[in-house]
Amino acid sequence: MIRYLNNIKILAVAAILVLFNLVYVAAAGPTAAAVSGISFKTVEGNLHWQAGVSADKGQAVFQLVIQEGRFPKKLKWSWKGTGQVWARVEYTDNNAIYYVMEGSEIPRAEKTTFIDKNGVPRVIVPTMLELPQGTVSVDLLEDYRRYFGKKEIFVKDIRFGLNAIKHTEIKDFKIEEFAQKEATVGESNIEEMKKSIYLQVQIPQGNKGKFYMVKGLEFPLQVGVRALLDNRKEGSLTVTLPETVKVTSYDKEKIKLIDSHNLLIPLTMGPGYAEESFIILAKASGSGKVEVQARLGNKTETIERDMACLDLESIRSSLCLVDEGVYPIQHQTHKVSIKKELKNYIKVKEDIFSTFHRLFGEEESYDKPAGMVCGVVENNSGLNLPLRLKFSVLDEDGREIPYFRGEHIQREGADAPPVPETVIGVGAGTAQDFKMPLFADVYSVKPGIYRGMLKVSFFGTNTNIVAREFDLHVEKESQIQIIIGLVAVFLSLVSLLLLAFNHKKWIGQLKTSEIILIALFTAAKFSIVDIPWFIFGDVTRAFLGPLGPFMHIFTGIFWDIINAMFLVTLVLLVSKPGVVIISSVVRIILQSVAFGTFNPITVLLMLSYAVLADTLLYLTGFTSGKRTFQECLGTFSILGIIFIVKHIYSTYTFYYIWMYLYRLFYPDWYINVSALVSAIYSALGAVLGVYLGNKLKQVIE
Amino acid sequence: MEWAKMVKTGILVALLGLVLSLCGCQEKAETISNETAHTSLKPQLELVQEVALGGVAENKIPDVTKSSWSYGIPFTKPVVFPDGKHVLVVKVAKMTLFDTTTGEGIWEKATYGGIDNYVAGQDRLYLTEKGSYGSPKEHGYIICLDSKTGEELWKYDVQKDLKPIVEKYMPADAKISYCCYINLAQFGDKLIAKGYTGWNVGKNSDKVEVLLRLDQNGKRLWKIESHGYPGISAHSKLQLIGNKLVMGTYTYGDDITGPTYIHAFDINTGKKLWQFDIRHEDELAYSDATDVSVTIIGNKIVGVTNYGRVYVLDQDGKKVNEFLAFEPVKHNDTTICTNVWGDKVAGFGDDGLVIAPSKTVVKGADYNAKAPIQHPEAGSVMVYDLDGNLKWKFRLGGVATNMSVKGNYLILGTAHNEDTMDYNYCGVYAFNLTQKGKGKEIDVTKESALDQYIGYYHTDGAIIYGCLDTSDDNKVICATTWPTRVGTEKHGKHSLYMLKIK
Repeated sequence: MIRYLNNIKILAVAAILVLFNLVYVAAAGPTAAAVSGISFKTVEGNLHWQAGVSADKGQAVFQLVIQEGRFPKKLKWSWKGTGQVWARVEYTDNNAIYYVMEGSEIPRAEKTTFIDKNGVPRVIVPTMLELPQGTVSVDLLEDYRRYFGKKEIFVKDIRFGLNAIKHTEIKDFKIEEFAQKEATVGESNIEEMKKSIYLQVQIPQGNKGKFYMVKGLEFPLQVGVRALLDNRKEGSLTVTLPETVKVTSYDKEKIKLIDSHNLLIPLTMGPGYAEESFIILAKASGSGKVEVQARLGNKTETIERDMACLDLESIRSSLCLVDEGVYPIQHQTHKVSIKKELKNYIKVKEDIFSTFHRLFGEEESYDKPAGMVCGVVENNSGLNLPLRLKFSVLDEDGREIPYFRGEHIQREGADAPPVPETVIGVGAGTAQDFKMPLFADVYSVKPGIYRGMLKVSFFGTNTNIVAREFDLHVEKESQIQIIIGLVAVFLSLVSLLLLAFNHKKWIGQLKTSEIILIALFTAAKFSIVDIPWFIFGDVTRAFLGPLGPFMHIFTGIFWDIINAMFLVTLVLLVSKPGVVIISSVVRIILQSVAFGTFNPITVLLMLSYAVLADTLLYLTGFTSGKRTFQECLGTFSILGIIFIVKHIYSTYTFYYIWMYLYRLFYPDWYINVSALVSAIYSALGAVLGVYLGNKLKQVIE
Repeated sequence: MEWAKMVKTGILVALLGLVLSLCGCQEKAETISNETAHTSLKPQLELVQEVALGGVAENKIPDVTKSSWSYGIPFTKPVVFPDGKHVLVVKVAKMTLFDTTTGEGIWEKATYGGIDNYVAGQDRLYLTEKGSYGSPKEHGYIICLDSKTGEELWKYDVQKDLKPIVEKYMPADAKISYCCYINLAQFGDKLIAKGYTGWNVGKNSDKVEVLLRLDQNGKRLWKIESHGYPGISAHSKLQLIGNKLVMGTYTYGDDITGPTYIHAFDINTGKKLWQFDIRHEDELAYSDATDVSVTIIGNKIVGVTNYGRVYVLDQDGKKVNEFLAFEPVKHNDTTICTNVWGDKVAGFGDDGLVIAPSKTVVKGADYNAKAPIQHPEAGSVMVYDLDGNLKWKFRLGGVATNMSVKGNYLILGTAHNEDTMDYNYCGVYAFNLTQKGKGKEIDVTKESALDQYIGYYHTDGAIIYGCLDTSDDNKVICATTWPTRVGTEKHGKHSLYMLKIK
């Protein structure tokens, strides 16, 4: 009985110990050693794995059979021999490490190329590491971190390769530790990450989100294929749209239409990276399923997704255009700024070169934006909206005025510059700013109020989602006015200085008879030109009424013909420098005494005209004694040019200074007609002056 | 009998003990097992050490969906020594010197409130004190340290030179945009510095700059002053060819601040030698602004404009060749552009130009707006010869934030994909420039593609602009990551990655 009890005690102790051991091993869970259950299959060659492999000659590649849900982390094995021996570990993101036995021939690494989920072509270059002969151990996740980076990853394939020349063996293979499953990526990500064909379908074009079309509208759909292939391969791209969709336009050379909603596109791609993209126009009447499949060789890639069909009104109600308008821009020293306080207003600047270009018919070569078309688009829908924004200035018939452009002048060979236009993708529930430069052709754009139209449509369509119309005020600022004004001020000051410093000299060299002649001619001119104008000027204006702008044709007889004629006669009789200036001073004095008008601006302007004429007469030799007033074509031409220059200058300065000082407006054509009449009349007056002067000279002599 | 019983019991217990001890031994071996040391069989990227650099305050984690998101953040910068044995990691409050072989810290010192730029010599380190955004500062130092001990050898206050010209030109109502940003370059024993202070009056920007040469003791040898744009330089690096110091400039627009140019100075005297004017090409560019980055390739000076025009000049500034590296894509009446800026331009050998264009921008749309169409060259790296032939091209996926071309290697640091906001592309790319390529993309069907592309190391978070540095042979690479956010979603950690090409 005692013996029996002792045996029971011993058995109980043993049972407790064994139980304890079993519990201990079980508690270790998935990280515990898995001595048993390891098996390799031969995927290449004529050798077999039996608790390892040992061979004097032969070649084989063995693949570890990885148990589902158990991911090796630490491995240990022993190897030695002569030949080529390696272990290859591949991770779920396609990265791979070759562990090569010391002294082994380096294996030819198999590159991995694929297109990732964003369509980016990727190249995986395996890492090659040498391990010594004998017993080795590796931590696969630690090695991943060391060579590829910090990422949640697991091992998906382990292979051993052996090509024995002499006795070679691999043995004692153990998986010493498994990775925790929760530290790995899901299966779905694995397949998504490795693609040799990548399909991108945008319905409508520019939309990378959910597919949709708008009922009754023709939309562009884009199907893109990217491929990374080892060889040239043939295949096809099939596009199956819902029966509610009808294809309206496609490239017939590349695409075959099977029926109204099915397309077949033959493909030939590779080797290496290649991409192709196709655009199809289609109209939808309802929703349905879209299936696009690319097949190249034995590889296929399919996208299958539902497509919604919306009403245009629902899109219209969820799209807002905020703060839209055209704003002038200010070119400051170091920045171009938008003047937000001046909405729907632009100012076009015309410089002196623009005028020359216009006169000689040359094309505009460079300009800068006159304003910016700005605003914010708010998308309150649940869809990504690829949008096209277009601003145009319309004429009375609603046609686009091409002088308002969206770009700088283009170089030769380019098409006509387009109106301001851009494309933007506005994500679901987001807002997006836009800012389009507006250029205005300085030659052709006239000041005034125009009709501006801002349209928001789907990218690739002409159907407006939102259209806003507003008045656009265009002002034209001519820099010629400023330049001519500055020249006038400069010449006026020069004439003042000349008069101040030279009046004694000029008067000193004049005989008394010449002074009397100057006074006499100036008084005669004053009584013929200035007094009638003072008395009848306003009456004439009132009398001509609507023909007022053409008044100069009549008044120019006095202002230009008689003025120029008397002046040339005077200079012919008294051919000395300063005569024109002295005559002008006398005229100013007479005006002050007779009419009580003494306007400093008028005084300075008149002096500047006198300086210009005096200088030109001196330079051409008429008052310097180098040229006589012969009645010949040469004299007439030179005098004609001098007086044309003087009168054109006086006409423009008169109007521009008056416009600037009194904020008046004279249209360009009116000023130009006046200048033209003045030029012709003054040239005529100058020629007549030569005849009159010579006659009077004969009388005096 | 009792004896026999005791023997039986003893044997049984011993056997059970043996079983238990075997199980215990097995567990112990698992915990102490060490990996077998391995050797690289070809050039490949390997992480030597990753060092956590501590937390980042929530208000210093930028939202990458906002424009100019990286401005004003005091990112941690790694300064790698020329031999690659050490890296100095400079944070706002302290700087630490690490051994790049072991990852151990050697010394640690308080710093100067962060740095903007640096030059690492073998014995000396030159750091430039971080300038200030939006406010003036009293001093702006170039600090020279003994690289072995971290001891300060001298410091030079660039504000002494900048301040008088700021006072001369900056109106009283101006607001400082950036005060005392200092750039450094070292060519042998010649240390060149460029200081800059910019301001705004309303919406007008203006700046003053000084270009200085210092000797090894921090004594100024010459100085050049400049007021206004294009000025001395902008995003372009300072480069040396012969005795000519060459750099590119930036303009807001030809009509606004005049055309941009490449210009050269005599490094010994500071005398201006020549200037090559560059006319803006509106049909190629996204905006009126022109930036030109300069690199030296063989005996040529190569200037690359932000819109892709490449000018090849001789040492006297005479044009030898010009070509377009990329151009806008026309889609109906819309112009799709891309840009290349500053340090994404580099040269190698006698004939190699590397450029990395950034994102797609559509004319008329905001710079940060998502483009429905992508420019084919955006987010890629391209290698050209100086005749304008494309040697090879590689798509990075993420945006290249850092580029280093030294020795035989091209190293790129990348941030997230700006189109998809995908952070899977953050990391370091390495290429072997000795391998010649043909065609537009790397031909992955050819074996040479594997030699050309060394590999990619993924980092947990974006490598920000100016946060990657390499040794003189580009074999030691140190990069710091900084956490960023996409809206409220946070990505990445603040870490130092020490990598080597082994």
